[in-house]
Formats: sequence, C-alpha cells, structure tokens
Amino acid sequence: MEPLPFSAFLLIGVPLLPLLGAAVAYSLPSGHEKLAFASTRGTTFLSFLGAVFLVVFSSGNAPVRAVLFPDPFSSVPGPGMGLLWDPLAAIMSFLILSVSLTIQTFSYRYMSGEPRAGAFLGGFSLATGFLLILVTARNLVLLYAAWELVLVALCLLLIHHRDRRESSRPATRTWVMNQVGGGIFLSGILVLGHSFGTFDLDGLFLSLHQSSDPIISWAGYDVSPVGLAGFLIGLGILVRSAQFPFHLWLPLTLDAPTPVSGFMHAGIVNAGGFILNRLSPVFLQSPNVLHGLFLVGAFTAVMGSAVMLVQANVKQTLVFSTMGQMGYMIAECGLGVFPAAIFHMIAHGIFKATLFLGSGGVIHAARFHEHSPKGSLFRAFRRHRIAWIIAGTLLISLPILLLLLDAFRGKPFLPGRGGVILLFFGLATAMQTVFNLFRFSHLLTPRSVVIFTAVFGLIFGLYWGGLHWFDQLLEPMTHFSAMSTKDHGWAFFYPVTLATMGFILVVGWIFLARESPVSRFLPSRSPWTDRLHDLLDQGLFGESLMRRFIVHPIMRLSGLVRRIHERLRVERPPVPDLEGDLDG
Amino acid sequence: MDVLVLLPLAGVLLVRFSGQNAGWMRKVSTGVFWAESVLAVGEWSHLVGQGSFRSSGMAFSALILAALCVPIGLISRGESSPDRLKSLTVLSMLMLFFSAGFTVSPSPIWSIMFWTGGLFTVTALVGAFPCNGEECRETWRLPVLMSFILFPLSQALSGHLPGLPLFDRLPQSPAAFGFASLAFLVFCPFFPFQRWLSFVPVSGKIVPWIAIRLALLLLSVSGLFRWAFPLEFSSFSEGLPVLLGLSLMAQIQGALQALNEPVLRKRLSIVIFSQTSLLVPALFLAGRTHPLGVVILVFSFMLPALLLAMVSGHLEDETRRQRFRDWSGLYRFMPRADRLFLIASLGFSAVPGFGAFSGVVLIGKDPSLPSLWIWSLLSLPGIVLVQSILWQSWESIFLGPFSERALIPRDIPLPTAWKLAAFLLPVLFLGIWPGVLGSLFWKGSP
Repeated sequence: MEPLPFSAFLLIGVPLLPLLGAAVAYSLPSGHEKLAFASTRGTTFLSFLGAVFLVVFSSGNAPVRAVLFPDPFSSVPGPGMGLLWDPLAAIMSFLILSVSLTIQTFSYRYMSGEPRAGAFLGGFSLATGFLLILVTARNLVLLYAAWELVLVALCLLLIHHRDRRESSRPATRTWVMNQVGGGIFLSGILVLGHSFGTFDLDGLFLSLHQSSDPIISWAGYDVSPVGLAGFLIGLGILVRSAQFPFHLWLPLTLDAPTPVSGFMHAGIVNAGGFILNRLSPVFLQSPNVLHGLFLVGAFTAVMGSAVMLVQANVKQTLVFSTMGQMGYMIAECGLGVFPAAIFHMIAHGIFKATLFLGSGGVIHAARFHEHSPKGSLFRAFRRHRIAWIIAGTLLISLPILLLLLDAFRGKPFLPGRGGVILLFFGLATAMQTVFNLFRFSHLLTPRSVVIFTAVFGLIFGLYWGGLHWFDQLLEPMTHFSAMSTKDHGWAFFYPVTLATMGFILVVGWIFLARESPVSRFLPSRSPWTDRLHDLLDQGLFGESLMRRFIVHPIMRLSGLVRRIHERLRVERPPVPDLEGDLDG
Repeated sequence: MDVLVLLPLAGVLLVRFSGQNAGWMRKVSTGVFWAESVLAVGEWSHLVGQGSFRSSGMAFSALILAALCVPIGLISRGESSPDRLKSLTVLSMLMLFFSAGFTVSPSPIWSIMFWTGGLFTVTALVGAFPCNGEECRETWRLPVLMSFILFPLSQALSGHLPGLPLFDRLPQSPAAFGFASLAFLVFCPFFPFQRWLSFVPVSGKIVPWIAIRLALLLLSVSGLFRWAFPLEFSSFSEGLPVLLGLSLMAQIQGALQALNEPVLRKRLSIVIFSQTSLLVPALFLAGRTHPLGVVILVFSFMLPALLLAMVSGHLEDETRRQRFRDWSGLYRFMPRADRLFLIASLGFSAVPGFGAFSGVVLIGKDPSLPSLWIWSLLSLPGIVLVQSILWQSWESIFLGPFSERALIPRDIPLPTAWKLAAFLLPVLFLGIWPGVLGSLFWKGSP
C-alpha cells in the first residue's frame, strides 16, 4: 500500500477537523461552553489553515485526490470513494470556512449564556464539515451523502429552541420538503450510476460523450439517461435552493438563532448552485433542463424580489431576498454561465451572512425609530431630495450606460457571456439598493448615500474584474459547449430580465407610494394595488395552495386508508389504555 | 447433529429443568443467543468444523441466522414474573432451535418439519402475551395455516416430496414456485398480507410483538431464498412488474396509514413493516446477484427497528401513555431516549451513513437488471414518507413545551443506553464500509 501523500492527508483533514470539533462540542457536558467554542473554532481554523496549505502545496492547478474507502457502488472498476481538491472545491471551501469562522466568532457573544450552546456549536461544526465534504466529494454517492447530512445538521440547528413549536414545526417542514427533493436528487444519481456504471465524477464525465441508449421511449420521444438524470437532479436542487414552487420551507425558518439563519442563507441554500456547477458537464448535455432551470430561476428572482418589497420584518425581507438571489443564480446556470454563478454565490454568501448578523442591530435600532420605515419616502424627499436623486440616478443608470456602450462599440465590453448577466444583476441590485435606502429613511443622509454608491461601485468593479479571473480559474468548466447568444434561451433572457427589472421598479414605487401618508408625487392607494399587495404579502398564496392541493388530499387519503384497514378487521370493544392511566 | 441446532435445544432443557431463578434463566438465554450468533458467523468462516447440517455454502443463511438471534433474544426481555419469564425463555429458545434448523438444513423434509415447529412455537408465543385474546389469535390463524399448507405442497409439486396425484394437472413449475413464494410471502410486507404483519395490540409490551414479526420476516426471507427461488420457472420475469407493484402498494399503503395513526406503537409497527417491504423486491430482483445488498438491508432495518421499539416501550412504561397528543417536550427528562430515538429514526429511514442507504444503492447498481433502478425510483416516495413520519413522531414526542398530561418520566439508565446504542454500530459500520461484509463472506463465491 502506497503511503498517503501529504497533500492528500491535508485534504482529508479539511472536512474531518470540523467534524472532530463537533464531536468534542457534543460530548462536553453543559457548563463547558468556552471549551466547546475553543474546540469548534480551533478545528475550523485548523481546517482553514489546511486549505491554505493545500493551495500552497498543490502545484499549479493540478487537482489533489484522496481516497477514503473502496467504492462498492460502481459496477465499473475505478478509484475508491474520496475527495478532490480542484479550483472549484478550493473556492467553495474558502467561502464555507470563512463564513463559518466569522459566524462562530459572532456566536461567541450571541450565544453566551444560552443553555444549549454546546449543542449549537456541535451542529454548526457538523454542518461545516458536511458542507466541506460536499464541495470536495469526487464521487456522486459521497456527494449525495454529504448533501443529506448537511440537511440533518441544518434541521438540528433549526430546532435549537427546543421548547418552541415555532422552531420545531418549521424544522419538520424543512426536513420533509428537502427529503422529497433529496429523494428526487438520489433518483437522478441512480440513473447516472446505472447507465454509466460508475459514480466517480471523473469516470462519469469521461463516459458522458459515449452514446447511450434511451432510458425511456414513449410516443416517439426518447429520453436519454443524461437528460433524465439532469432533470431529476435539477429538480432536487430547486428544492434545496428554495426555488418556486418549492420555496415554502424557507420563510418559515426565521425562529432559528440569527447565526443559524446567516449560515443557512450564506452556505447551505447556496449548495444547489454548487451542485449545478460541479455537475455542469451533465447539465450541458441536457439543454432542455437548462432552459427549464432558467425559467424557474427567472420566475423565482422576480417573485422573491417582489415579495421582498412588501415584507415588514427585516429577517423576512432577507429570506425573500435570498430566494430572489438564488433565482438569479439558477437562471445564470440555466444560461450555461457557470463561473458567473459561482462568483454570484460567493458575493451573495458574504453579503447575506453580514446582513443576517447585522439584522439584530437593525431590529434593535428600529425599536428606537418609531416611524421607521413607514413614511420614509415623504421625509426622504423633504430632507435630501437632490442628494438622493443624483445617487439613485447614478446607481440605476450605470449598468444601462454600460449596456448601451456595449451596443455602440459593436463588440463585448465585458468578459464572456457572464458580462450581460452581470449587467442585469447590477441593475437589479442598484434598484433594490435605492429602494431600500428610501425605506430606511434614517439611513438616508448624504454621507450614507455616498458610501452606498461607493460600495456598489466597488462590488460592480470586483464583479467585472473578478468574472474574467473566474473564467480563467474555472477554465475546464468553461470549455464545454454552452449555449450561445443565438440560442432560444438567450433570446428569451433579455425580455424576461427587462420585465423583471421593470416589475421591481414599478411595484417598488407603488408600495413606496402606499407607505407615504401625504405624497404629492405618486398615485395614492387603489383597489388593484391593495390586491397586488395582498398577493405579494401572502407569497402568491403558495402556502394555502400547498395545503389545499397537497397536504389535505394526502391526509384525507391517509385517513381513508386507515379507516379501510381498521374496518376490515373484526370490530372489538375499545381496549383500555395502559394500567394506571391518569385519565382513569 | 450440528451444534447450531443443538445449542438452543440444550438451552431449552437447561432452563426448563432448572427452577425459577430469573438471573440464571437470563444468563443461560443470553449465553445461548450470543453463542449461536457467533457460531453462525463462524460456521461460514470455517472456524467451526463441518457438521451434518451444514448448509450448501450459503453465507446468506448463516448471516440470516446470526441476525435472527437478536429479535428472538429480545422476546423475553423485560419480563419480571418468574413463571412467565421461564415460559417465554423456553419458547424463545425453542423458536431459535426451529429457526436454526430451518435456516441450515439442506433437506426439504427437515426444513418442512422445522418450519412447522417454528409456526407452532410462534403461535404459542403469541398466546403467551397479554392481549385482547381473540383479536391477537385471529391475526395469526390465516397466515400460519396458509404457510403450513403451502410450503409442503410446493415441495411435493417440485418433486422433492412424494407426488400428490390430486395436483397432476397443475403446471408444475409455476405452481410449485407460486406456492413456495406465497408460503413465505404471507409473513413479508407484501400486499395484501401486510395487514396482519403490522398488527400490534395496545396492551402488553411492544418489543416482543415487533421482535416476533421481524424474526418471521427474516425466516421468510431465508425461506424464499432457499426454497422458492430454486423453483423459479423460465417466464417468471414477466411477472416481476406485478411483484414490484404489490410490494410498492404495501409500502405506500403502510406509510399513508401511519401518517394518520395516533398511537405510537401502532404507528411504529406500521412504519417498520412499510419500510421493510423494500426487502421483498430486493430479494426477488437481486437476491442472487447481490445477496450482500439484501443482507445489509436485513441488518439495517432490523436493528434500528428494534431500537425504536425498545425506546418506545420505555417511553410507554415511564409515562403510562401511548398517544402522541399526550407527549410533548420530553427531551428535558429523557435526553438519552431523545437521541436514541432520533438516531434510530435516521438509520431506519435510510439516511446516508447508515446501512439501509448503502443497501438500497448496492442493490440498484446492477446494469443487467433494468427493473432495479425503476424499483429504486418507485420506492423513494415510500421512503420519503417514512422519513417524514419518523421525524414528525420524534418532533411531536420530544420537542415543544412539556405536556402536563404525562407523568414525569425517568430517562433510560446510562448502561442500558450504551447497550442500546451498540445496536447502531453495525448499521453505521455497514453504512460506511458496506463492502467489508462482502469481502469477508463472499470471498470467491456468489
């Protein structure tokens, strides 16, 4: 047996260290929270160092591989089940580890004095470790296992307040809906494994180009194994990424501690985007699936952004913002621009974690600003009219100006296919930023407007430059034949995205007008805006529809099955409960 | 005679004629069950010499026998009355004797005799438990009678026993295969036979009921493997969709029924036998090509199921309640029970990392059997329902504010909790290294 190379040893250590920290945190009795903090933070930091060393020691872009155990699931002989360290795994690992470390540091104060701080830290480290396995897995079965175990850890974190049904019931919903998604995801993996004989990613990607017999032939329409697997895996991803109509679990999870929400939105919900990128060769072989993903992503982006506008709760606003951002990301993947989606994921992860961790402060501040955010528009106009008009116009017009420049030059101004998407993303972000500046009028000082504009410009610049760098870094991923701008998907993309922007703009202004008590600039309330407000406030009545068309029919069927089963048995007098029944 | 068969019989005699000392009886039965399981594994590994009852090289049977020791060994557990303890210990060791004989004997005549003995012992065991008598017996009469008749009949039709002129006109192979399959399928979760399999009375302890049914399920799996499959006829594969459909019906029907069941023990029993219905198609589709996957499924369903039953039994004993509505927030008083219930639920519902998941994926990988991945896909809704039901049960019992309707319970004692946790070790081990069992037991054979 060959000795394990040092880099492979490091690679195994990266996900295992947080798991070790979790084991220590769980095993410590209550009253040793400081030790638990030290163990989880220490192991996560060591894991981070390991990742740094891996980048330093791995020569160039050559991937590092480590085998954990033999692969009994593949029928074609291949390498064992193990881990892979490539640019994508490295980027994702750094994102996960840095967000995890930041949130753990934040939790040190936030969770001090909590009775179950040790269990919280254990769950947090478990989630970190399993996420690291997910992003470094080189085998589909291992990847799926990590995908499911992340969900287990997430649900354990969501029920941190164990005596509150407000925490435990949403965790049950999260578990059930994600298990449905997980089951569909597993089906896709089984189809791939069955058709190509291997679950190893390298082996699988190599054999994808081989012609494979249709797995389903019906009414003259053949479905290839890759197409079916892509469809099933894509469907599973939509559930975890809270995409319409599988988003109903995400808004219910607000009762979880703030660090959990931060980690969930920054690292766990993003996992769907990572899988789309990791399995991009599979998805690029199934363009219909990509078109479907684009449609769902675009619709969710519109819906999430619109529903976000009418939310009164800060955390709820962030939840729908995540939904919208995930929608953008899935739409990007649907267009085949995978590196842009990764960049988007990182930016969103960092920002959303920061926003969640800061949301407590905003809620605290809101208690001392009685009228915030109500009536903000009127006051904003009155106080800093000129400043906001200039800043707002700048913010919104910058992406449009770049687009126009692009058209006049006759050649792409921005790198790759992601450039156009970047512009639209910038436009949407600009509009949302302006809109939120108005909602929180106490933030709307000339200084803050300048700061927000500068930060936005910085992000935009980073995106611009970063995307080019990402295209190079994730080079193998961009070599596959993705959709061209002549494709139907692209032809569809422009009007849909423009409609999204227009919708957000119009709806946002309408609701700002509604909030304003004495506005002279915008139309006042009308019946249809009230109805639109209700529709968005209820999240397009998704919850009611699910109860009516899924939950209630299943429960009725369940009752019917039980009645049939009970009635078929010979009727007997009711049997008393156990001896000593307190009810007598 | 082979030591595997004689050992339980010696245990029966020792307990029957050794007075009323409860401690002694427990020690003897524990020793016999441990020794039997170790010997069953050792038998295949050639640690023990060959005897006249040695099976024809089937690791499958040896492992099934080792697995059988666990549920049968739990039948008399927790019984406090010396008289009842004695009768239950004797009956359970007698059941082990018949089970061992049935599992390892190569001759059809011997197998029929052991199977008949096993059926009668089960009937006696069922009668020994407190239950609303008539109802309990009713659930057993039909399957026992069917199996008692159909198994010998199948062997007669296949020519293993003296021929029966009455059945000369029947198509021999399909009839023999059908009768042999039915003789064992009546004790498997297979539509419409799952009705009596999931029955649990509301009185008495829950563990023996689950244990007896699991033991019968294991024996039936062994019976199907050894006595039904060799009779398979050429056009059998055409009937596979029907088999898959009936098995899935049992799975979905059970899961739906459990969703609305307000009594914990009933819900558990239904869920257990809904989920174990995966075993039947796995056995028929891949029993010969991937016996490892089937064995992993057997262990991975049985051990968490028994653990769930034991934790639920403790919960019922401590709180004197059986309905979900009476329990809430028990995590405060029963942290060990809380953790064990959750982990057993995860293990039983085929979450990755546990053996059941590895078993399902192992069985579904064979490219030569196109039905397998269809089975894997179709079985997923049932698995997801079971996962949801078990999580919901755990949430309902252990989380939330404490309900005043229940007595304040005591937790599972620490030594007992460690013993119960040991049930999960093989399942975790098989989940992470499923190939180990294969390399140990199938070296150079199927």
